[in-house]
Amino acid sequence: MLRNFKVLTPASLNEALYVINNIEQPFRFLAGGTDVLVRLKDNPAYAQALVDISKIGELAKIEEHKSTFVIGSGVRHEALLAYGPFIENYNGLIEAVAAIGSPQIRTLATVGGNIGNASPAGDSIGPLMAFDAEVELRSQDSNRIVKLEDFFTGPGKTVLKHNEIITKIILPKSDALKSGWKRLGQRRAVAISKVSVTLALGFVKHSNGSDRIADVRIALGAVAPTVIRARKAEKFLLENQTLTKAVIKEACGLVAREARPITDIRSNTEYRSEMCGVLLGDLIEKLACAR
Amino acid sequence: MLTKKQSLYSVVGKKVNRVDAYEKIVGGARYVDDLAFEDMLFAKMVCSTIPSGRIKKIDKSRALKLKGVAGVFTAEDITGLNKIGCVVDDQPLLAKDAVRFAGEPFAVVAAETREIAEEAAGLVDIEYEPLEPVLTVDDSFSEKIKVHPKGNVVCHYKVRKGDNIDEAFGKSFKVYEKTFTINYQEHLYLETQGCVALPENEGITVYGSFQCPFYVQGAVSTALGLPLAKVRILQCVVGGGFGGKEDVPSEYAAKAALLAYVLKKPVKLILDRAQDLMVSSKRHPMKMEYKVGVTKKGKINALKVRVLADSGAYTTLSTVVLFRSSVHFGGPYVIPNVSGDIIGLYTNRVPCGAYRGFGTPQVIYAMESMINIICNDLGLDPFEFRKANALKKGAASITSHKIKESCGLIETIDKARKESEYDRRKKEFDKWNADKSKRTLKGLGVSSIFYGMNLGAKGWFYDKAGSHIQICRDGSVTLCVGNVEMGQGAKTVLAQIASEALGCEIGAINFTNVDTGIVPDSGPTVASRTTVMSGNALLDAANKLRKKLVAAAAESLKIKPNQVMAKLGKYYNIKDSHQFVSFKDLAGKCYLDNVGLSEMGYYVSPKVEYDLQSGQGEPYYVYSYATAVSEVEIDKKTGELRVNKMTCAHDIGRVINPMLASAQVEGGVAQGVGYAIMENMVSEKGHIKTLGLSTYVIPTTKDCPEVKSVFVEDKSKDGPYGAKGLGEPSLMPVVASVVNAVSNAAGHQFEHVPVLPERVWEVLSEKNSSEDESEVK
Ligand SMILES: Cc1cc2nc3c(=O)[nH]c(=O)nc-3n(C[C@H](O)[C@H](O)[C@H](O)COP(=O)(O)OP(=O)(O)OC[C@H]3O[C@@H](n4cnc5c(N)ncnc54)[C@H](O)[C@@H]3O)c2cc1C
Repeated sequence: MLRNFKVLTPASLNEALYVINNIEQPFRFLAGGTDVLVRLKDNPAYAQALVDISKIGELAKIEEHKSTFVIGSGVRHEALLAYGPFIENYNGLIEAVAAIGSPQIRTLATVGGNIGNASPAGDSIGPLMAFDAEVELRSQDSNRIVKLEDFFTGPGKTVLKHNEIITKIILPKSDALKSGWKRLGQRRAVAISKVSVTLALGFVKHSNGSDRIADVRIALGAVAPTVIRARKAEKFLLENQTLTKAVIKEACGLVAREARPITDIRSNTEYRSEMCGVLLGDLIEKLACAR
Repeated sequence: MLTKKQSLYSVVGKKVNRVDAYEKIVGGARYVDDLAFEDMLFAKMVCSTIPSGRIKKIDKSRALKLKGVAGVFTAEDITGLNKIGCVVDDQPLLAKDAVRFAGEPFAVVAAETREIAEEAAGLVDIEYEPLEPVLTVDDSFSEKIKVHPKGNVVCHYKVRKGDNIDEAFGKSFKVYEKTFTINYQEHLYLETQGCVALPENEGITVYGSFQCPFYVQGAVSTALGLPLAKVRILQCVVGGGFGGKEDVPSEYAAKAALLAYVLKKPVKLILDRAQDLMVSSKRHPMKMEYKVGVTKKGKINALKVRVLADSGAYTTLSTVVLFRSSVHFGGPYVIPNVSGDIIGLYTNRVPCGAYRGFGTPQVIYAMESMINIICNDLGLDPFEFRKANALKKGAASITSHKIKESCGLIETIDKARKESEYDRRKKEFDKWNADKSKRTLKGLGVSSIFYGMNLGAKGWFYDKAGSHIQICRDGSVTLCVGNVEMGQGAKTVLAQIASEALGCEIGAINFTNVDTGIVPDSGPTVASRTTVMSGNALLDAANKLRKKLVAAAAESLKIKPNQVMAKLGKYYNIKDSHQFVSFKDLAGKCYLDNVGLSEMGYYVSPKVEYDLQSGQGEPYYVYSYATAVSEVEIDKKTGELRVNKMTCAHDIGRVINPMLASAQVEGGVAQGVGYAIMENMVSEKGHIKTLGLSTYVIPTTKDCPEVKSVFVEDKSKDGPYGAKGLGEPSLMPVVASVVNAVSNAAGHQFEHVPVLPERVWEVLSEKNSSEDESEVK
């Protein structure tokens, strides 16, 4: 019921911090609104107030620092897709974000919203997690940095406190990594991922001239209560260093076992697990060839 | 003078732009939810949350206390009769003693705002005694639990032709048997169901999104206890129907009308998407047992079929929908020995009813799958096999209907083969698939159909249509028919027919939306009948007017009436085209001469004779035919499917508008592709789980194939300018041809629709592991 519903529109980050420190009703942020409004329509109890942060300019910037990129939580997906350094070096992120919804959705929706919504199927989360991104959480009197991997506690659940806001996403520079992202959905556009896999790989030249794996990151989406890193498969690949057929096969099997998917209206457990392996295999092939 | 090469017609057969395109593009088209009236109330239905139960008590008191609530109505508040069934009286307008499916409305509230209505709906309390629901056709067939006291069989159609069927199979060279299942399909019109009812002149006027304003008129009259003449239905611009707005809108219109009539205020009832998905009728899920016998020469000699169709909790249109299944389950083929049983069954699930193709895409899928199995097993060419068994003039269908005219099936088969470049593609695909390094498998699939035009033997009494044409004194023309424009292009095609017949320019025509106060009951806008029925009704009126105009022109031009020719706004001297009088001037002249230029038209579908006991006779007066060829590609590792191309050859008699005909085919393909490989309505314990657009997934443009449509024009003597229908045939061969293509690519005939990647992957993995094993051995 929207009758006693409040919408507050702070003009700055400071005002927003003040508002959420003092607001009494259970509230949600309105960034792009593409998740929050849909949920609110389905379930009026989802929030009793909205804090509209969509017009706070200071949240909508991407900045380059010495060893990091800092993405404001209010950066829209289309703006992220247009950012040169990401196009050059963060292929996995670009591929994932370009697949979110449709142009209409990407023009409105924000990176902070994708994270704040905390869906295990949130498509930008996998690549960000693979790049070891962190989020800055601010309240009126605190400021903390949390690894994205530690941010989620379950579907729709995070460590965010009621008076905190995600201000930025800190993305370490990782020029040495090649990355890619793949997903399966129920259709080719405007689809929620049934499975998604992000792979980032770094190589070094061995003294014998061959390429050795120096760094591996794998993130899995929609196959566990949160987006997860596939640590066992990562460790296995790092230890084996070279991408032989047998090694790839083993890694794909490992990743399928690390997934903990459910059967729901979109897909089933067995398929989702196996597809983690298939998509990882595809990405390995793609990144290994692309060098 | 006309040369032989020029078409006889100046508007018919031309790519005329849609007459309603502009208003839709600029956002001017008014859909029902765009209407607002002073003091208008908003209604919301309150629906059962369990699939089966006895109602012990309904308590309105909490809802009535809410500020802004104008009324809460239950069965006891109905001023007329509490019945809504369109053909069978088994469904109440509001559940009184029992609820039979999750989503069945038992109350309806009206309030000052939509939000208050929503909240009030949540405050109507109901106490049930839950009963064990019947959720499968097999359970229903066993009759262990009865959904209705009279039993669970909604209808049982039999077709018996030729010898004892078991003996016939004894004479077959080979016999094939398989059981297929198919899920629901949801219409998913962009505009959900809705209407606005206004108390007016001691009666009621209802605006809405309907496919049959006359059904709505009847339902409102029954519910309110008002004579039909006091109930006026006005059609708004419709945002898609696909059969979902045939009988179903009556349920909502009668509720809104009841509230409006008693509360004496306008009432708007618009379903939100979740409620629309939950309560409105769907395409019947079916379990289909097929047995086909073929001779050594590749002729089908025997066919035995048993279909169990899930009709849901109420009949709605099941009896007519499944009648169509009983006519079409054997496809467009000549089969001497046939035994078919099509059984509709009640379950405690959402009622199933009309949907584009009316109970035929399911059985076509099963039959065409059988043919695919046979061709693959015997190494027969899928086109040649179909041609060898095809209906043609002089041959008889499975209901022993001897085809007398307008049968272009064989031409569609030839055209589909040629235009799809099937033979070249087949070679390419075989080579592709033999290459084990390729990531994908490619496949081609064929399917042929026929489809009975108009309502046929089971609905002949509804099969009529009226029209009204008025020519104003400035030469502008008002057309009104009883069938609706719902996005299919009816207004354009019908305007073309009227313009051709009247000799006026299409721009002179103004098409009004259906008004039951102007045109007589014209039946529903379904069964691919509008071009034929309303087209003929318009021709009837137009010919009367043309006679008057010709007489007036002859007088003006001082020639004999038989020397007058009319075309594109001018009435000519047939011998000298420089001598003419304009349509406008003729209209002015008639006005001053007191010659009335307003006529009613009427048309009745040709009568057919059919015996329901044996399922033999003429179920329909004529058929449309089609053959489709699909190209698909499946990912070996993920099972993902892509339909790359479809070539569709349709015999629809005269093509009135080639552009719209192609568009119709494209739309049918999109809807069919969704049905075949994507749309998956999930229901658990009688509750539909896919109640939104993010869970009930239909194709986007990115999922749709390239479509090549070609036409065969075997004209029908009863159609306007020889036309037949295309609305449903456009969808009908799609599922079967896509599934056959997927099956041919995967090397496994898929026995359930939709074919989802999960299943394809499972099949391919099983095949792989058995291949691996045989390698080891
Ligand atoms: C048609 C459609 C298609 C979609 N397709 C996809 C898809 O393919 N892939 C995908 O991942 N998603 C998809 N989505 C979901 C959605 O668009 C994304 O999750 C989007 O990134 C959400 O961003 P937003 O700015 O709109 O968030 P909002 O809806 O404004 O907010 C979402 C949630 O995040 C919280 N939040 C927002 N900003 C902050 C902040 N700064 N700090 C803390 N919490 C915050 C809000 O409180 C709320 O709970 C789709 C949605 C729609 C409607």
